[in-house]
Amino acid sequence: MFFVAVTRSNVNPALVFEYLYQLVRILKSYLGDEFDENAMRNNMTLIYELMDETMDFGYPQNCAVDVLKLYINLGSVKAQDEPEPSQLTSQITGAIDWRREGIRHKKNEVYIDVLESVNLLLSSTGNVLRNEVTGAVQMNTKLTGMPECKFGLNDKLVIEKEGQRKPGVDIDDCTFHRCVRLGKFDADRTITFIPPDGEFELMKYRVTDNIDLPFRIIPAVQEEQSLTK
Amino acid sequence: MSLAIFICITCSGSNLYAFLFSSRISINLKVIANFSDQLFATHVVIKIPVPKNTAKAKIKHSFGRAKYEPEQQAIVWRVKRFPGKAECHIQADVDLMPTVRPKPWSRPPINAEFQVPMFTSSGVHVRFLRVYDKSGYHTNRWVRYITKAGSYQIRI
Repeated sequence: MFFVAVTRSNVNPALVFEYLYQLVRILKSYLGDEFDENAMRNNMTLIYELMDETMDFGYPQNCAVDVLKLYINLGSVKAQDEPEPSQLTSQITGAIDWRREGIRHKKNEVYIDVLESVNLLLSSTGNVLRNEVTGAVQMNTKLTGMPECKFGLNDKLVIEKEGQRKPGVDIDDCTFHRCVRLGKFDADRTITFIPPDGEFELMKYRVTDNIDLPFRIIPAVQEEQSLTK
Repeated sequence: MSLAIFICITCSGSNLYAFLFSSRISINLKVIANFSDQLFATHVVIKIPVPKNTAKAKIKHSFGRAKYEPEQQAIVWRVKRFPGKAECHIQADVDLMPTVRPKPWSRPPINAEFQVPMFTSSGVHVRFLRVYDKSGYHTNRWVRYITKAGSYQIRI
């Protein structure tokens, strides 16, 4: 299945791709991970409604699944609890659209997963041609209310500023989930946010210096040729 | 399979025997796990490419399972659990099928796949996560780390 967007003006392609990815993500959460053409045909009205809500006059609007599920609940998705109508308007128009108010959890828990992927290309003489690590911080939050979170990595710039002796990691570039206050990060490199409920990817980063390679592989290959008659 | 294959070329009444090239490749590989011995890697797969006309491969290795997989054109060595600081040697003698014209082998790179739980290649770790809420509740935090191989290639 293909998702195609058409445009009449010269728009930012990254925006179009991001919207398409978000749309697929929304459809997955409404129709199940393995949705197909049939599911789309059967849920035409639902998809029409979703697209109407996520896109207004060509401008992407609210793509947060949690919030969409509050007021679009045709098909298999059930609303968790009916929100107050007054709250709904603040949800749609409010600044924090990724979290609704009044979330309660018995236990307040946060799971943090740091996933890294190492890329390496060694030449036959053992020189490093390419070596970098791309990482992602995944979170699963089960927190009550509207908590304010502050997250700290052993980022070299932060550690040096705090005057600690411990070596930090030189993080080349990072991107954040939109809940992170970028202004605050630009000003003093602290990561502060009000998290969405449940699973999300807080940040992605890339490191190219001082990489610990988990495996060293030393090959020796010899070709012998002989003639047979 | 018998290697004694003769190709007869009749040319102006006399018989010429073409020479057949048969060759072998010997591969020696040393794999060292460079992380703490408290940890271990899982799902380690190392693919050593061999030429298309490989007849058979004799493989010696210290642990794991290794075999020649013709559909991958590679010797595939799998280890379920690779302890940290461990060192492993793998030695393979590859016999090639004889060919009339020796074709140069393109020597594709060795490819490695692995997962190392509780290890970060970059050295990144989470220093803190503070949660502030009006009610001031206590939060439990759990942190996991995992490093996977993206494209991990060694040219030979």
